[in-house]
Amino acid sequence: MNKTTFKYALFLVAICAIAGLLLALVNKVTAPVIAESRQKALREKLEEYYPYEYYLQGDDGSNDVAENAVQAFYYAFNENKELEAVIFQTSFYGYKSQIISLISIKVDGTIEGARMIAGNDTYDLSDFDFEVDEETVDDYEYTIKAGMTKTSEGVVNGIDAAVSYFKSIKDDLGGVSYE
Amino acid sequence: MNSKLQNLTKGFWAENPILISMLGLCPTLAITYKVENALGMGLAVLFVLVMSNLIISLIRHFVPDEIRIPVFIVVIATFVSVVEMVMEAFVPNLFARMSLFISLIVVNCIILGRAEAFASKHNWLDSVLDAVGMALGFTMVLVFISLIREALGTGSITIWGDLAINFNPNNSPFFSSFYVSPPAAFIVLGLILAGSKAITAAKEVKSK
Amino acid sequence: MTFSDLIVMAVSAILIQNVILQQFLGICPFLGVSGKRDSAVGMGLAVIVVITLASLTSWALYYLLLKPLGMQYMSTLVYILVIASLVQIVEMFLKKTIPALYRSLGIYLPLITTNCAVLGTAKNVIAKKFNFLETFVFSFATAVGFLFVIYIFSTLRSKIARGDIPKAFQGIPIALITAGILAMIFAKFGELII
Repeated sequence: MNKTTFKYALFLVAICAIAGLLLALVNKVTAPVIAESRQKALREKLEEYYPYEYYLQGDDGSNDVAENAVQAFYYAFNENKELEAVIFQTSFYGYKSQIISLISIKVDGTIEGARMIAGNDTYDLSDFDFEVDEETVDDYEYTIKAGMTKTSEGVVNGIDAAVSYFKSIKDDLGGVSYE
Repeated sequence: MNSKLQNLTKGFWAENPILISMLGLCPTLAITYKVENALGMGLAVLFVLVMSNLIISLIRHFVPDEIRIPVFIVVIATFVSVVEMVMEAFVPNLFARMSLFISLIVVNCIILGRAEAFASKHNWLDSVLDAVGMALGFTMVLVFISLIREALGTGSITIWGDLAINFNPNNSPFFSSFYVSPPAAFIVLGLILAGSKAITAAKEVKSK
Repeated sequence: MTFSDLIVMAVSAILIQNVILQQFLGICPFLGVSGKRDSAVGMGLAVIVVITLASLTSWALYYLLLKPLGMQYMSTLVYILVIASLVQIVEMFLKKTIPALYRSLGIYLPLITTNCAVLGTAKNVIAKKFNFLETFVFSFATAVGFLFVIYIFSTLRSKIARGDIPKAFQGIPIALITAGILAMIFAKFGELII
């Protein structure tokens, strides 16, 4: 490498270093704002049904309008940033339309709950009550307290999908951390 | 002073980056389905173009000629990264819609083009004026296309969640979502470029 | 991803989420080089090499360097430097091995650096959280989609140029309108497959 090439390379490295410093500075300022607004969006969505301290989106967001499938899933953490539950958003056919449900399964496999959050609009969401009583992913039963069977099929299929998805990611949950 | 003003305004029409130079077409096609996107992109490009033209004109005597393109790229990429972070922090919904194309500002030929053609050869004030003019010209065309596509495509213009204008209170079938689809982007841009070419040609005939 | 998933992803990248007609990436070279069939094919092949190598390299740098160091904000800068270097290398390689292609591509070869499709694909493979193999298949298929469309377009353009086009439409405007029609056809492909 002759002298001019070396000089050029040095110049480029210097410019990149200055750029890197500037970017690190901007990052320091903006990163907390970004993390907070992500949390806010997730909290608005999930806190009402399954209140936890922190949430993290677990999938890459590419399925979020999929039908008859798990649309997304979120990790839920307590104040010590330990993973406590995984919340699944599923969409399955129910009474007249796709029913969107949120199913929360705790890390140890207990199904915390299943709630319908959106669906056919002739239905008042409060008319529909669905109970999953501290069941585990290996052995669960649902009690339909109110609501038509077609609508509950949307949630029931959602629970089944959430459970099987949970089983497939169960072994990797140890590696999840809130970063 | 007159030439400084010209420097600024040449980007509006005579040397408009989209209509005349036909540069920066990727974002023009991709994001112009919503006026809000056009405004956001325009602001981002304004920042990057002004900052990069400014810095490059200030360091132009220190940069060895052979490595000027990589140096320009580093400068531009730095400011694009700044815009990415700032937008993600303060306008996350807008950023989420356009995040790829905000990053792609770094390969937008307009920015590199002005750096190479102008900022590397002029003082900082002229370079900044050039940048502002080009960025505004770019934004004007983006907004114009988006106005057409969003109005015809959805029947109304919505900015920051507030309905600005509703053209279609009666839900007439004239307004179809076709206009916000990808093929429409090509066709609308093609028609607009043809229109501007026709206007330029007519002006030339008049001045002869 | 299973093997069949990879095939589906590849086909989708070529036909349904086509890089030019659906994602709007690579428009400038698409309009610039599609005039002649040979330069279109040459450009397409060069782009396949650059996109695949750039995506793999960017993927590696992201997961081996940027993410562990918490410096994801440097990714745009790092990717574009990788791309610029790769294009420079490909340029020198072509100049020595296939000088005819090097000459026919002319200014468009270094302009691959500013081809949105290259940086765009590199960003996409990170956003979609692909692994190494998926990155390879996706970026290669995306670039094949680029070659496919630019080739079709080059055959169309030579026929259009012979027609009687109003002066204002000549060149890029009519090319864009043709691209729009081509985009509509590709959108129909998507419906067939889904």
